[in-house]
Amino acid sequence: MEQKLAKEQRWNDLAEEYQTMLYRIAFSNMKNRADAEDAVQEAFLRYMKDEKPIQNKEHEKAWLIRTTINICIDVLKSSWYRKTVAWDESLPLAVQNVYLPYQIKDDKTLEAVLKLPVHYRNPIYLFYYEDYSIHEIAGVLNEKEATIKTRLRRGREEVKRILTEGRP
Amino acid sequence: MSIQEVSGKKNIAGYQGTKKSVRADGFQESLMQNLKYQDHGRKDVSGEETLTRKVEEQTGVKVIGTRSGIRVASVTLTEAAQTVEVRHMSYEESDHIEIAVVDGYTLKGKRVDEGTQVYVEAKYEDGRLEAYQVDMAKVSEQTEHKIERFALETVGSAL
Repeated sequence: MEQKLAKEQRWNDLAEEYQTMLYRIAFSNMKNRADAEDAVQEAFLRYMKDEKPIQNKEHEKAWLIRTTINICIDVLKSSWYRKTVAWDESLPLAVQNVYLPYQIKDDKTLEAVLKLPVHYRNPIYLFYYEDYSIHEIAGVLNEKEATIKTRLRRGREEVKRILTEGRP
Repeated sequence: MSIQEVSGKKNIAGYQGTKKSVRADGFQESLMQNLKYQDHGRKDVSGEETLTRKVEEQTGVKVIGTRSGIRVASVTLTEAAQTVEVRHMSYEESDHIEIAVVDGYTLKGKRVDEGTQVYVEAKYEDGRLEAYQVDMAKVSEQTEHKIERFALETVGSAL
């Protein structure tokens, strides 16, 4: 009984600690609230089912972020999602649902970031909006640091282009 | 038309070393332009200041190159802004944040000693982290220096 309670408490702590951050990351990929929440819940469920031995806090966090992103990518790639969801029209409004822990002056840039292809979007979002280092992003996304640097640079150029030309 | 044997180029009309002399002039001209460019604070041929120099002077951000792929920047130190050890401050801990995706950097600021000092942490696209301690008593309200400007905004964000 005590073990069960301790486990529940741990899941609660885990959810409290990471859910907002994971929601933001999921939202940056899914661009709508319901799908982002589903992705985060799925990530937590997978973590609980797996019963992973925690190496350390950073490992736990990286695992959750990576899983959330992978779930988002899988959903976005599914034919069901592509046939049934149209998010583009409401993006400026939807951006308001990204509850960042700080105020940002320029929502237009965030909108442009959310329009990026997934291989640019995630490194850019994690680097600028979640304040991750290149080393951490490389770990989370299972890529080399040099690859992340290249994607940051190309993604930035793409953001600039979207802001200038107004379309992805 | 027959093939003519040429023993000395100088004997052919219209080929009296003109090409060589043009090249020499071109080189000299180019050298003079380069010297002029260096001596006059990176001014271009028309005499107008280059964007690079202008950005450097106005913001204190030393832009080494702006072509894609070689964009490297570092901040010129002033009397008010001095480098300090990086503390790895999070966004949540910061009093003021600037996210400049298009320019490839983020800035985080925190008031220290009741706003008489501001700690500023800069993260660049190439992964570099730099930290500055800004003495607000030495910062002019009209400053165009990027870090000093940001420090002023950090103090202002508390009001």
